[in-house]
Amino acid sequence: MPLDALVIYEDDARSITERLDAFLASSRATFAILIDRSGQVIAERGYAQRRAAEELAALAAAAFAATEHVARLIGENAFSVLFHQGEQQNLHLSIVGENALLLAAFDDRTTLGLVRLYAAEAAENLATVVEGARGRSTEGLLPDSPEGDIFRRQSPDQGAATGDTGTRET
Amino acid sequence: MASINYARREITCKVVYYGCAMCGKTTNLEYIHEHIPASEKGGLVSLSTQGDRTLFFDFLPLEAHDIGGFTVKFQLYTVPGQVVYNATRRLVLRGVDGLVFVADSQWSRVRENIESFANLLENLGQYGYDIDTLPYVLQYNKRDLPDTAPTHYLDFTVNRRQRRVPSYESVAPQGAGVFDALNGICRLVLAKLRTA
Repeated sequence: MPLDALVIYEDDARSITERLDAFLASSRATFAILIDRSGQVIAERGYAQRRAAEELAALAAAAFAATEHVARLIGENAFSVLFHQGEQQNLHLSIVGENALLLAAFDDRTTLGLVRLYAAEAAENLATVVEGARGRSTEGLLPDSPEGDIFRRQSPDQGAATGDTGTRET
Repeated sequence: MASINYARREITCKVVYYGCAMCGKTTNLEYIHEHIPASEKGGLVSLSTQGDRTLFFDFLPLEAHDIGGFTVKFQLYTVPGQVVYNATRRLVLRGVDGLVFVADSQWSRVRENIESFANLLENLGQYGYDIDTLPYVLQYNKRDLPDTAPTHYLDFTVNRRQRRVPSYESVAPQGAGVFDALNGICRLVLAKLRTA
């Protein structure tokens, strides 16, 4: 069984960006992140800090998965939308197709109803692109797996002191 | 679920640290977070109880720059080890691309290791994932403690499938073996992805 992959080419990326931008313009949300259900960022718009987007994506996907499980415990198949209300910012999370989520943050410049309305429309448009990108072959398109270390400890001196020589690979 | 974004020249993969309660999964991520250059890591997110036991998961995003022209992101997760949290363990496994199974080397924890590995197989099965084709490595942790089982015995308990996988001895709080296991799984995931 090969690893299942989501392969996004430049046309797909452009298409996703256009749809997210259209959603932001019509809903007046602050930012939007398209998230794979495994917790990875597929694309984000309106939000500069990429690494915070990664944390948001991981946590939002987990929250959605947990509430999905809660839904089953009370006899529902899933909750299709999650909404978190804050004092300044609110979050709206909805399903995109079978394997992705759309996270939208918004403040008092718009309303939950407007965000919900346009998120449903955006989800439908985005699902086509995301599902089309799933399961494509990556054979021959990716770099060789490096033979050496991919990640190194910051302090080699400390590494020697802690005895990495005690490790073994079989 | 790995994603490859050609527009951004980015590859993103999900690696989960699995194992029984108190075997050292969170300690692995904490050590990595403390000892990796700032340019290669994001923040460590821990969803834990007041007693510092993992409640849902820990999350640490890493990125390796310029591997064949791509930035490769590895998103590291742990699962809660306590038996009662099986539902959350299963949720974290969704879309996993590679696994580090952390085994506690103490004789007294052999049974827990075996049960945790069996639990892993069961939870993978819920998603239709097959351990025999999924990249994974074993990490025999707590090798500094006095009452540890020999590695060949640990192999006998959790590395006895037809495909023998790489195993690493480790002392996670001091970092011994931590980066070896991390690099081992990252290489396997990338190699697997090349043939997908």
